[in-house]
Parts: sequence; structure tokens; C-alpha cells
Amino acid sequence: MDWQQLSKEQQTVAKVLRHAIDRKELAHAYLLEGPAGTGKHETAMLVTQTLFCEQPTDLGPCLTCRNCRRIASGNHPDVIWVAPEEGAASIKKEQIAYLMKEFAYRGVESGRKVFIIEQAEKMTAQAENSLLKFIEEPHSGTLALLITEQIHQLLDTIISRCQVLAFVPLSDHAISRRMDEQGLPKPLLKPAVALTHDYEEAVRLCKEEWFAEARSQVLQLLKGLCESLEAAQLYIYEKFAPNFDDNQKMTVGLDLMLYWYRDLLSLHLNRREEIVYEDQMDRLKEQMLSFSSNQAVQAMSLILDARKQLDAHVNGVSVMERLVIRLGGTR
Amino acid sequence: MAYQALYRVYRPQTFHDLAGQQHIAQTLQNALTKQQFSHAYLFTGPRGTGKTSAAKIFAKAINCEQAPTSEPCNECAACRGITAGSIADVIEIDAASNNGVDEIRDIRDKVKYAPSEVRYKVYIIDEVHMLSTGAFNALLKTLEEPPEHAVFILATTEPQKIPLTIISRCQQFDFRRIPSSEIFQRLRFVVQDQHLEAEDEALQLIAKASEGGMRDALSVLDQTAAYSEAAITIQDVLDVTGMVADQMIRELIELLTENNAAAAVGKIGALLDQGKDPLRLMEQMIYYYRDLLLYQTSPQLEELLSRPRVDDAFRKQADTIALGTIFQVINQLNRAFLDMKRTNHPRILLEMAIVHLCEQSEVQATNIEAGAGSNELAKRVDALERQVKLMSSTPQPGVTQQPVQQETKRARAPRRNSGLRIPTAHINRVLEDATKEDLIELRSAWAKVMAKIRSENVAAHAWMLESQPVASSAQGFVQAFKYDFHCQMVMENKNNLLGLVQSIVQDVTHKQKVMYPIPEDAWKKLKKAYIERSKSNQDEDSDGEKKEEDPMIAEAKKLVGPDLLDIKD
Ligand SMILES: Nc1ncnc2c1ncn2[C@@H]1O[C@H](COP(=O)(O)OP(=O)(O)O)[C@@H](O)[C@H]1O
Ligand SMILES: [Mg+2]
Ligand SMILES: [Zn+2]
Ligand SMILES: [Zn+2]
Repeated sequence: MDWQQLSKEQQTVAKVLRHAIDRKELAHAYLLEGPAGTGKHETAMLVTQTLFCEQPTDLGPCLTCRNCRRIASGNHPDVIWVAPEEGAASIKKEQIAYLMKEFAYRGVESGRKVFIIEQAEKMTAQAENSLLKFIEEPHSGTLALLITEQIHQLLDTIISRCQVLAFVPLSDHAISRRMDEQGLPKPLLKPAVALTHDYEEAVRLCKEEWFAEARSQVLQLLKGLCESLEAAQLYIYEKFAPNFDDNQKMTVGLDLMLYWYRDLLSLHLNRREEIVYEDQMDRLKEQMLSFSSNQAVQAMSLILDARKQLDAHVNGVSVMERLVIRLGGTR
Repeated sequence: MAYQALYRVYRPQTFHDLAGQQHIAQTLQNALTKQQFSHAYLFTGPRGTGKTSAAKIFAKAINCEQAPTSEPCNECAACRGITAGSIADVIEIDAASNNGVDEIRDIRDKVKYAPSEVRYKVYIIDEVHMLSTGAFNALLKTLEEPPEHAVFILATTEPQKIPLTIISRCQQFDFRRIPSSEIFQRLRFVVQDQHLEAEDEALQLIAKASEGGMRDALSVLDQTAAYSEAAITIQDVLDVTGMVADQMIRELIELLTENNAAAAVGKIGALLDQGKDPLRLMEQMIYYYRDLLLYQTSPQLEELLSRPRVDDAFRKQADTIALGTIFQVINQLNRAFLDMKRTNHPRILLEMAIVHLCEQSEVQATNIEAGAGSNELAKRVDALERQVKLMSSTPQPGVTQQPVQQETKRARAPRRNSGLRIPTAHINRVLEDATKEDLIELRSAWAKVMAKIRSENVAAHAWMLESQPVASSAQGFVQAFKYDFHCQMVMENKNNLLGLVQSIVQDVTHKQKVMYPIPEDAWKKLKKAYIERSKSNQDEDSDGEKKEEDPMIAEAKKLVGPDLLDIKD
């Protein structure tokens, strides 16, 4: 990532940071916020390397000098990265305490120090609170970069102390186009994008055999549901359950179902470009006749409810079972 | 010298600079000049409203070489030392990083030693909600018998996490969200001081968007200044905050009013494809509806609106959408908004909410035409209205602000409290016996009263929140409510709310008084009438001397605001 690329992908962010660096008016704390795959980590790296690089150009850091290399490998003494420790679910207060101790001294080499907290929303309440005073008035020369995909999970009091840089996602359409250019299979690519809203994740899904299988099984299940409730239930036990054998897979199954009903809704709203199951157009059109937009919304709410149950660790198969009975009722 | 964020450069150093907290500044300053301050304060309120700043100003003012003084001079050695953080007797403790029993015991051990450099030892315990239970207990011991030379100032955004035993030892000040007009003024000052250029509208938008937090406002200003090429424009603010132009939201809502789901979802799709955040968009829609609601119910309260100004298009919209519809829409969007926060498909939830609204209002429209009980609807509207007021979280202007302006504008407002029976005779009796001392005593105990009410009954606390004692005699006091329906709730006296408040007042002040609730606007009229009557009595006595208000009283009113003034004097 260099500055040119950043301005292409995240115009606002690039402009704020570039101006601030050029005018020597960099604030002491930024919160880099936005969905996965939008370049937050790369941007943090870019800013840090630009600040420390021995021979930066207009485009960005040289990437070859000693400083650039040490930052890239995580070995620069004045740059500290914090993230949940391996296998841990959260960033602990001790990690922040350590950070603050490190920052009690000036930068060893340049008088400047940068710390970067990745997945900042994973900080425990204790950790987050213990950062408040420090992040409001750090020593001069300190730069804090907080990175998160879930800004709503951070304390107001943290957000209020940072300049918030919002990273905008590529639209699903743009991601799909990019994947199409890669020659990925059309019937898989749109559902994959719809589920992940992320280029790399979507590509990964597309290449998974299981995903293709899952997609066709969900379509099969929905078809059964159109015919009779019994047919659908039978299908769950015989084919569906063995293939969706953990809650994560079941989540994918639910999302695939969700987009079927959203397709119906999009059809009702005359928004063809939004259709995810393009190759199923005939079936969609047919079902649309007997399924109002209101029913589509209802079905979607049921699926989202089921999703909540899954998240609460209810057994996947019984969640699906109940969902199908309820969906049968919306017909 | 490294660049400093604007919100750090412009930390208020005097009470005068503390925007939007005049009521607090005034009370503290009175205590300062009279040398009668308490030994423990609790500053509560939302982020970026001046709690930490006020604590430091107070620490300087009591230790200033000019003391007793109502403001720190900021020039003497003590003031400068405290600002720089170099005076060992003024200790700022970050309770979030030092929240153990040991740290607080350490205070207890050292507090007894007299200060060495200045007159008072001041302990500022910031983010105090993070203390452990053990630490709170240790602190309580200290607060029970603080030495003469020590002052404690606790500050927090989360008062509900503070044990009541601590709260009851402190004089509590609740910092308000700062009214957007005051944030705007401050932003304009900063812009001039920094030799920046900015459109007024851009600053107004920042002021409105920061929800009463001055720190947030200055952060956004900082960032917009970095973003913009030259003068700061409204478009710059929209870009930086990711907000959608008001015009767009208006068009969107226009489509919803027409039940045009297809076009509405299409418009949303276009905005999201441009990279707008679905949650922010939803939030903006909710605020737009909320503005419509507020504008319909109380057009004189423009300050409360989230929009910088009211234009014709908005007014027209407010005229056409039914109140009941607005309530319902807000409620539903709000629910969807909460769900959106918890899913990885927020866009879909947004679409669903839109379609649902359009479909359902078609059903409802036919119901209403068919004459479905409008009484029932009115009741629901009432219930919803209460709810909306409770959930609305934009800046509330200080109660004593712009009284004159509001009064004249209020005259045109629709009367909505015709159902309330105000016990005028009783209230007039209270006014006859009212004294300034009684009122001041009650008002200074009020924070404690409210804290107790909250601990006893959260709902009661909610109804009482936007009300205040405005007159008191030895036997009774008049309680003015900002919102009629809050007043109504209390007057209806369900669950013996009046009794609860009265008994708590008695607990706290050791005086038995009857409470008379009254809506604020009714209070203003009643008060005016009372003053006029007593004046004309006087006039008769003194054989028709000049009818104008005593200039002394007029001056005093300016100083303390009409509410603190005893009417009888
Ligand atoms: N009432 C206020 N008037 C002026 N500026 C304020 C006010 N409240 C907050 N600020 C600004 O926000 C910054 C943080 O204020 P602070 O007092 O630390 O807020 P709190 O402790 O309530 O979160 C200050 O440095 C100042 O720039
Ligand atoms: Mg503070
Ligand atoms: Zn380099
Ligand atoms: Zn001084």
C-alpha cells in the first residue's frame, strides 16, 4: 500500500492523513474503523513507515531502509503492536499497562513513538478504561492508532478522544465484478460476496467444494419447502444435517437461505441487479407470484431469529428444524 | 513543538470558559467566594462536557494566591504549577489504571499530612467508576472524615456504578450535554483563534453532530481542518463524518410517506454503494423523524432539533406527516437499529425495516379511515411520546436559558396540558410563604434527592429528571417540569410517586414539605401573575409609585436567573 493507492481506495482517509503529515499536524490518536478487508492494517503500517522512513518519497516510504524493514517485521523499538494474545479472546489490562510503561519514556531512537492496537474492540472494559487518561494526554511525540471493525463496541469516552477515520467497504457489486474478472464461477460468486462482503473471504468460499455443495442443498431444501413441509423436514434429516454438521456451517446455511428470500424481495421491488441467485431466476419469478413482499420480510425475520439462536449455541439441527416449520407457516 | 489536538489546546482554564455548565460554575463560584465549599464533590455527566476541566479549575481556584476568588488567576505560582501538574499537593488519580485497594489506602495514609506547597490538598479521582469494591470501601473511610485541608473531586461518566454510600458523602454535580448553540460559539472562537476559515453552516453541523460533547466537536473540527484544502465547508464535514446530506434524507422520507418501498430501497442502495454506513444512515433517519416529532409538538424548541436550521421543505414535511405515524416509525426504526448493530448484514435489516414500514402504513391507513378507535390511538401516542422523550439524547438546553425568548414563543404553542388540574390556590399559598433560603436549601440538596429517588425507583427518577424546585416555603415547594406529560405522570400519583419524593426530601433535608408539580410554562404564567398582583398591592400601599420592575431586582435576575430569585423580596 502506498499513498496513491490509499487515495484511490479510501479517499477521505488518505486526504486527512496525508495533509496532517505534510502540514506536521498529526493528531496524537486516530481510530481506524471499518469492515474487514478495507486496508486499515496496511494504512497503519503506511503511516508508521512514512514517519520513520529514512528516505520517504511523495508516494510513500522506501520499504528498504533499516527503519522500514524493522517496522514491517515488528522489530522497531519505538513501534509497538498490541492485539489479543494468541488463543485469547480479549486484550487484557496487563497488555495496556505494559504499553503505558513502555511509553513512559521518549522514543529510543527518534523521540517519536507509535502504538497500534488491533481489534481494539477486544479490549476488556478494564483495559479500555485504563487507556482513557493516557490516550487523552500522552507524552509529546506519541501517536496512537486504534484499529477496529466494531466501533460500536468501543466506549464513547475512547472514541471521543480520537479522530475517527472511517474506512468504507467496496460495494458488493464492485467485489463481484473483480471476482468475475478472475473467472470465478458465476453461480457461486454472488452468494459468496453477499455472505462475506469481502473480496478475499469470498474468493476463499468460492474455491471451497463444500460451499458449492451447501448452496445446492439449500436450494434443494427451499424447493422441498415449496412442495410440502414433510418433504422439507425429511430432507433436513437425511441430507442437510450431515453436511451442515457444526454451527458455523449452519450459519452459512442460514445466510444462504436469507438471500433467497431477499432475492424474492428484490424481485418485488424490481431491483434485478441485486439478485444473488441469478441462475434461479425462473424459480424466483414463479415463487414471487405466491409470495408477497411482506411474506418475504417475515421469512427473513424468522431466519435472522434462527441466527440469534445459533449464536446463543442452540443446537444447529434443531434450530433449522424449527425454522423450517415456521417458514412452512408463512406460506 | 509537536502539534496538539485542538481539544487539548482549548481546555478551559476558568469557569468563565466552561461552556454550557453555567449552573454548576455558579454554584461552585458562590462556594468559593464564601469560602464554604464542601470536602467531597462528585462530577458526573457524558463525555467531553468539562468534568475533568472543572475539577482542575476548582483545584486552582481554592489554591490560588488570590483566594478567596471565584476564578483562578492562572498567573500565580500555584495556578501555573497546578496547570503544569508540578504541584505535589494536587493529585490526579486515574482510577481506571489505579483501581486497587492499595492505591486508595495510600491516599488514606497520606491525606492526613498537611499540604506543603499550597493551602489545600486536592485529590482528583478521575474515571472513578472503575474503582474496585474494596477500593470504594477504603475511599469511603476517607470521605467519612476528611481533614480540613483536603478536598476530593471524583469524576465519572458512569454514575450508576458508584455506590450510594459514596454518592451520599459527596455534593454531586451533573454536567449537561452542552447545547449546540454553545458548542457552535466555541467552535467559532477556536476557528478565529487558529486563523482558520469555515462556513458557519459547517460549524453548526459539527455542533449538532457531536451530541453535546465538546471534545467530540473539537476532534471533528480538527479532522475537518486536516481534510479541507482551504475554507472548511459543509461538504467537508459530511465527507469526514460519513453523514448523508440532509436533502437526501428528506427525499428518502418523502418516499416513505408515499409508501414507495421500491424507490426508497433503491435510494438506500445507491447511498450504501457509495460507501455510506447503513448504521449511520439509519441513525440519521431516526433523528430526522425525531426532529419532525419535536417540531410538531413543540415548534418553539428549535434548539433541541438535530438539524442546524428549519427550512420550508422541512416545515412542509412536518405539516403533512401525522404525529401517530411518526411515533410508530421512530419506534420501529429504533428497534431495527438495535438489531442492525448485532448483525453482519445491516443493509438487509435496513431494507426490511423500510419495506415493513411501507406495507404496514398502508394497512394502518385503511384502519384509521375505517374509524378504528381514535381514543386508543391517542393513548398509544401518549405512551410513545413519553418513551421518545426518554430515549432522545440530543443536547438539552439548560433550564434557565433564554427564558424570555421561550416565554414569548410559547404563547403560540398548542396547549397540550388542558387535562392537568393545577392546584393554583395551594401554589399561591406556597408563594406567599416562600423564602429564598428555603429554595436554596432545597436546591442544593436536590442532587442527593435525585440520587436517592433513582436508587428507590428508576421510573420515578426518569419522570423527575427534567424538573426542578422553583419555589419553596417551610411547608411546601413548587416543582416545575419541562415536559407536560412528565408532570402529568407525577400528578397522577401512580405508585404514590408524590409520597416517595416527599419522604426522600424529608430524609435528606429533615424538613417535611408537600410537593406541587406544575408544567414549566404554566409556572411562568402563574409566577408572572403573582408578581403582578403583589406589585399592584405594593403600588397601592406606596400610593402608585413607578410601576416598573425594581432595577435591583432586574439586576439580580440577570445574575442568578429568575428561578433562583425569591419572589417575595
Ligand atoms: N464545558 C466545556 N467548555 C469548553 N470546552 C470543553 C467543555 N467540556 C469539554 N471541553 C473540551 O473537551 C476537552 C475535554 O474536556 P474534559 O473536561 O476532560 O471532559 P470530561 O472530563 O467531561 O470528559 C477539553 O480539553 C475541552 O477542549
Ligand atoms: Mg474526564
Ligand atoms: Zn524507508
Ligand atoms: Zn492563581
